[in-house]
Amino acid sequence: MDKYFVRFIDVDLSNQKINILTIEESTLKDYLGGAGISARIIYDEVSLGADPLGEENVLCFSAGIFTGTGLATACRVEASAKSPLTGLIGTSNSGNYWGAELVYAGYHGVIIRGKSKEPCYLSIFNDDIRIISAEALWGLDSWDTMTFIRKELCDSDVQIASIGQAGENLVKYASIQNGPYDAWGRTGLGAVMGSKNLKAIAVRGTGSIHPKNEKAFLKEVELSFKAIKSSPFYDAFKEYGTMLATIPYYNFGALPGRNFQIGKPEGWMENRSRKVVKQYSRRGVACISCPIACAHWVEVKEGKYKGLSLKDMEVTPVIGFGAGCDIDNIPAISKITEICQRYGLDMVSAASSIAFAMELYQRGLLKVEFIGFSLEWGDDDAVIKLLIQIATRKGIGDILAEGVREASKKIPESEYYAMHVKGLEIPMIDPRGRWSTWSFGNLTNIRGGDHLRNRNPVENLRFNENRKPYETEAFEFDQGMYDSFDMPEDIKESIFDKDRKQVDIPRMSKWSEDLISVYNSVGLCIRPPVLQAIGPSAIARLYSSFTGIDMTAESIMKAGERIWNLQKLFNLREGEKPEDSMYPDRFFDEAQADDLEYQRKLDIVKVKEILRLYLKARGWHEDSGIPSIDKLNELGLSK
Amino acid sequence: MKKVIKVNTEPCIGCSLCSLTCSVTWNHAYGLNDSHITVNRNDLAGLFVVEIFDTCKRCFKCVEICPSSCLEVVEIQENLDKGGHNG
Repeated sequence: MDKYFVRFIDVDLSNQKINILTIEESTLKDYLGGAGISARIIYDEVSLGADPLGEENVLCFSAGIFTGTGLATACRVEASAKSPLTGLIGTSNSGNYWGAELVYAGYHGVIIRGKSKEPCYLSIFNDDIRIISAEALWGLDSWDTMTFIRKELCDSDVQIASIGQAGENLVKYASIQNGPYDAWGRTGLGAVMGSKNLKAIAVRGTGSIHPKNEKAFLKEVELSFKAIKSSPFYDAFKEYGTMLATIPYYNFGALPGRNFQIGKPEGWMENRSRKVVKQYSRRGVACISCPIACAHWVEVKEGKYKGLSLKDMEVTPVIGFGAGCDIDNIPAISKITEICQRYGLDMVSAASSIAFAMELYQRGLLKVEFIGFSLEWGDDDAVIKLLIQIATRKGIGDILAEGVREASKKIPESEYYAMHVKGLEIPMIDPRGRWSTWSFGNLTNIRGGDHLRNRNPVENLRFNENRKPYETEAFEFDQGMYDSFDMPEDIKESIFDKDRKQVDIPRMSKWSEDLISVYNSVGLCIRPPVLQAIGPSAIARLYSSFTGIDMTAESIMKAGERIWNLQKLFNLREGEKPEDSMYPDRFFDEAQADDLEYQRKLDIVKVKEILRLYLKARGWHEDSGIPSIDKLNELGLSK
Repeated sequence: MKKVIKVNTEPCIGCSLCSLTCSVTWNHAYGLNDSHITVNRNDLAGLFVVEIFDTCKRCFKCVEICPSSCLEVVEIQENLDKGGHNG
């Protein structure tokens, strides 16, 4: 059988050259696709100390190996570069239709190097690849950009990855919008694209992809579909999407209310939780090949924002702006979401930056004379005004556009209120309200303070009991779930305490991070109904039958571990230190103002101990955080 | 009487699983351009319209896979048969 390979488009904008790069089977075996391949490319191509906004940075889009197939939720694409926000690896994952179109055009990735002299966009129509002037597009938001390009190319099906004004203005947390409503949001990749004068990448493919072993692959696709539909989370996720989490987070007191001052914002259950989903949406919207459709089509029928309709009510803006900035109604949050989508801003970092500014205003550290207007909690007009100032770098927006870490260096006495880990703003989970594998993941996440790289496959938000605080979280599923959980028996026994129904957090973190690395490399979505149903054994069978490359559950997970370690090596090369993996002081020094009953604060000694156990589980040196030589040899990363 | 597919486009979530399943069933490859059913998507407006072509082979795999119950197998008189219809 012919060896399997995928092709990447390699564009140098400095000299306007386009090459085609082949990723061979041996590399795919080690890095799978998607996030794995982009990690390898960024590690190899971006040298130490490269300016993230300079010509030397490289932006890589890499589709998952299954993206474009009918495997449920296989639609994801990883985008990576050195992050202008953190100075570490910047990487983000997105779905929609862009990746599938790229694959149908005959490519699994796009590498962008150098810098164009003039604004441009890249058009890919099968093998017809062109760099086109974007002079007329510069200054447009992402929606207008999409409409313009579709008209110019006379093709309403062309999929567009684009930046809005935020990316053009090098806002450090600018997103790359994926179609009108989705995004490669985190770590500021939109600014990298803007720094290269690249406004958009338009993709259309009329070809198709066929599995190497069609019969075996289709059988696995069918089994996966059934497994996902049988997940206990499937129906609930289909109905509520990620809004499902809005009630348990409230119950835990884990919402980032008013920049992490309160865990249970007043009126939350009545006006921002999943209870209100049906008031604003009657249907879901899916990415290609996804049966879940976790996003909602929102229609605002009355009030100040009457007539607004968009794909929204995702937990990220609802918690970020709804709790973080205390915007107390869905229509206003939807309008704010629209602004972020159009201007191209990462909603987590944008919400956190504004919540930071609002708290400084509350404490008198930012005055109305300096801002130009008042910044009261819950003021949607002020939030919208500030978002536009950030995206266009006007007024105080120019300071907040740097992210909270850098902004806090410019505003006296503000550092304590800058809620980030390694420069990346922390999203929705307050670890004082809920300590779990998931919240712990903000510390170990390869890209900084973020919750999406160590989703625990058996995370269950119904329970919050830590019998051994910090070390464990509750595992309350039945025996059948335990038995069917796709994990080698010896690892399962080391992670789960069956009698006590506990999960070992440091060990589960390692497993989860490796598994998410696999997911982001094969193109699957990490939503709970999928993550719970499709484990490494199924992925190995899918991978082998689709590519003809012989993989086992063990080699799949080893690849996930290799990818995580390689990303870590990039960060270490850039100077990351173990002490950087720490929560802001606020979580250790004070309880939330509304946590009158428990007055919960984190214990820094215990957090450090869990980090030590995590490093041990990873095979990394406990003092330096550097992977051991044995580990690097085991993963083939010692060269 | 012949079996055809009746389309109720309203609950469509725009996943294109119908089109992908058709494509791999009849062309042995996944794609959106050579199947006998398609989802016309206006993504900015969130509108999806399912269209079945006259070339439909009536294998009904798309009906089985549709996660939103947009597609239904119905029987019609043979002289009305156009492969499928948007009901």
